[in-house]
Amino acid sequence: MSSPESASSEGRRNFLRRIGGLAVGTAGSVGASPAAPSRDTTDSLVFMSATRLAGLIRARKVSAAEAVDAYIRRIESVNDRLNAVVMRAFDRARQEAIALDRRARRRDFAGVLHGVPMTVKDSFDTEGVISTGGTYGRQQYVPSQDATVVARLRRAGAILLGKTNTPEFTLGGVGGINTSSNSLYGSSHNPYDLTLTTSGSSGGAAAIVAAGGAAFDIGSDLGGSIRLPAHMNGVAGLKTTAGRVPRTGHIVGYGGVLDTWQQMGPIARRVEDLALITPVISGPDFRDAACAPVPWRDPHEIEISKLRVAYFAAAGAFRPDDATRETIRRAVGWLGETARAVTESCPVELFEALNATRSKLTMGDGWAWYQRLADKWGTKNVSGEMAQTIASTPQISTAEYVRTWDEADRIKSKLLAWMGSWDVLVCPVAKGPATPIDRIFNAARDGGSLGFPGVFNSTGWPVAVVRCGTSADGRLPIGIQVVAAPWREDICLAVAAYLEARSGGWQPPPI
Amino acid sequence: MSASRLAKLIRSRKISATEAVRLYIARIESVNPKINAVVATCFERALLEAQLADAALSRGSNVGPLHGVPMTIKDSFDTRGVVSTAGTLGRRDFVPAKDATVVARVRAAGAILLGKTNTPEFTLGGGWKGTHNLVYGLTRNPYDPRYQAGASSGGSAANVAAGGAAFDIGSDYGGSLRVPATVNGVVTLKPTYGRTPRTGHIIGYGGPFDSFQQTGPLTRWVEDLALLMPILCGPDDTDCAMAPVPFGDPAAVDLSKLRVAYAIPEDGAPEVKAALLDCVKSFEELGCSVREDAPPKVKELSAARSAFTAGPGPDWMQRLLAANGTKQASPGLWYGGEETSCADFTRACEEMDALKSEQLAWIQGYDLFICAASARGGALPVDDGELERARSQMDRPSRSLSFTGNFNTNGWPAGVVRAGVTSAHPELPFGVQAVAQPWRDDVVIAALAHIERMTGGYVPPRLPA
Repeated sequence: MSSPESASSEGRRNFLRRIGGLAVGTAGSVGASPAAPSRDTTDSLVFMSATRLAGLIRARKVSAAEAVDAYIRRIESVNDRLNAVVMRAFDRARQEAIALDRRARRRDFAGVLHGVPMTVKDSFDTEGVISTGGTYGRQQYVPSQDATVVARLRRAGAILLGKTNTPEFTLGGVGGINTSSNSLYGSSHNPYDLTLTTSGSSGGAAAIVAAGGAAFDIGSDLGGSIRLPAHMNGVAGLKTTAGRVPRTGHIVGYGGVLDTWQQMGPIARRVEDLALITPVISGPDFRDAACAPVPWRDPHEIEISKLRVAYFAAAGAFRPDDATRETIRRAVGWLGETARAVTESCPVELFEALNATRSKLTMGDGWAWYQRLADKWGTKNVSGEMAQTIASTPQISTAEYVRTWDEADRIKSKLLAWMGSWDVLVCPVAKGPATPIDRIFNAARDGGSLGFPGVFNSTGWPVAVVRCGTSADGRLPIGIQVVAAPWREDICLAVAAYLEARSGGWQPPPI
Repeated sequence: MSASRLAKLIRSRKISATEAVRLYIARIESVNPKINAVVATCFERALLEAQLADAALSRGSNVGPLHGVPMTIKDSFDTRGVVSTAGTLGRRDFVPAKDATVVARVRAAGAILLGKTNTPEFTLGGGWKGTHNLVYGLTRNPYDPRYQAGASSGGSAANVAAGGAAFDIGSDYGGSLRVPATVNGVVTLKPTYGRTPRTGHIIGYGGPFDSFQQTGPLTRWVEDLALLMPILCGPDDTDCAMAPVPFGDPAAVDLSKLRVAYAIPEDGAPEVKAALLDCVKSFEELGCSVREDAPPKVKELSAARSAFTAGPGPDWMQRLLAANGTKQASPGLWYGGEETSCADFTRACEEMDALKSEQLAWIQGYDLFICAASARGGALPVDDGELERARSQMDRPSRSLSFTGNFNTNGWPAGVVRAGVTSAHPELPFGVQAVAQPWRDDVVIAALAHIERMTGGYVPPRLPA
């Protein structure tokens, strides 16, 4: 197990090696480069970082078959309780591992993820493996083609073990996106406390990665769906910049009025893995028309000492619990030791105004877009309360809808100008740690605000989440959001890695 | 001469910025009464800036790539200290406190603003009259003032063609750079959506129709696009749709390796068809693979865009008028369509995006698409009777696809260069269009440069010197 101290000194050693001119990876060279150096020192195959595991497989200290077997055993031991992996592809995974090991003996590596076992959120198409997206209409749906991100990961050598649970269409289901529950597979459970939610919508993904059932997973985020589960399951996640990663083959894919809100990204135990995986899945695919070929920048080139940090622990009606505020306070303290400037700032009126446009734009057409999604996939009965919600939501006029859209974009402009004063924003993901599965947040009952995860979907800015704290009772993880300006995932990841080194980041769950 | 050549001469002090500015002012004063392209001027400030520019050079200061180069700017862009009406009566006396982003960038690079060029109201209001508004009236074609200048960057293109500026910056929502470039025989590039900020343009960043609007330069020579584009490109702190994609060097494009698709408009003008075939042949001679093929679903995408933009009914334009304090609007102003239900609106958006995705899959198989900017070729007449006759011909159902708005809807880079003159009127020029994959503006510029080498490109109009 890595202690914070050893991780930190390991990080410094790596940093010194790199500024000496070694291994500065770019998106273009990643596929052909040697193994990325890892700062992780964990020995357990199923708990070490994906980066470390990839290095060991490449060095032939561990075979892909051994790794796959270890992860399969782990899934078999924990999944009865977690219900995170909802479809398995174990036989194929074992066969792929054998083939990749054969290639490794010839030193013919598929890519930076050669032999690394992964799971993928069930909202992504996976060739040959049932991909339901949590909806009845796709109960038996076996895609003939991988989603773009899945194809890219498999081409880079990753091995798919199975699919992870998501609410219907990543949005509805039972209890909305604040849980990972649907009528097909039921609820996923939090590995730190089985009575608690994994949050959603990438809840199955975050829970299984936290529990050591996969080296990493790929999630999607339309309103917090990577970040909330990463936070509540104590793992690292990256919601990429809008336009970075294609959505082709995701159940809510490219197109439509909410298109720019939907971003994809990896969920892993360690921040270094996010930096390894994201360049593999980035870049246009000639299907998703909103992707731009913006070069990927190496997080190792970021110097924390040059950064201007903004932070907030609470803002407006958003009043996180004591442990969450304390987590931010500690993170800010660590940053204060190194960063150029640390300033409390939150444009809360803009955040609240943007949140208001989000609900209007989501529901303005009376959920017609959601109904069309259900129709497209042949789902007659949508899960949970969605049918009732659809039936009871009136349409607004198109003129009003367009006015709301204009208003949202005006706010986004103001936020972009605000962000020009900072390099990074550090803030809570949610009010507190995971909540009971059967007690989903209800604004009327619980009061206050859930926070602002959706704001960064509307703006399309990149956000990393990393565990930085623990609940008051010492049991539950608390993650924080590390937000940067568009296309600056490198800053998110550098700051998240720094905070991970100081806090220890992911800790093994008791399960 | 080209802006690039002029910039070099100024930098090497073979000609002073003051001389250049004086020459262009004299040219505007001589031709503008005939074409009404430049509608507001700032000559005194320009001369002052030119003197400062010359002083900087004699001190040996570092100067920008456009140091001392005189330009005009389409009146839909804000220009600090210079009236910017965008052709709407409510802004008749509006003097912005700040330059639009692209204006600030070219000025920071040393360009000197001579004045503003005419545009229809909000770039959308000219109707069949082309570049016409209630503030400044009609802009005419420098090759024959009995003809229109095209719209909506008609003032820009006419003035650049007439030699009244080394370059201009316009905007394109449905062909507004490319149609004027075609009918005034000049060069333009409508860049990829996401390259050039719209901040300070009268229809700026934001709203559901945001992605249709792109801004770009109008020049006489293709080499100027390569000079100007890197200056114009890149995110600012207001336009949220920008992406910092590096601008490829057009000189590094290997033309012989391009996979070229082309479309000949079935019922287009014979000279347009012939010019397109000449272009295609010359690419084939370079070693390119060429194939007659066009993006799929062009008509469907156009219909989906119409259904989408109709959505809010007249409310969208009414708000624009109200926000600018305009009570009397141009008779030809575009108001959208009949308001649709919100569910229909969101569905139209999905349909449009699905078609964009189909077209994107198509262009993966090609590097370059050559087509007409206007199947008709040359400019429309100004005279009402003649315009009516021309319109009735154009209103007939056409078998040819229109390739202007399509590339606003999908946001691909598209440029125009002069390719010939119309057979009906051998003074009136027309251009052809080169289109590439998104973000490959470098390929468009390289292709336009090749076509320019083949056809000779820009020819000065025979207006009085």
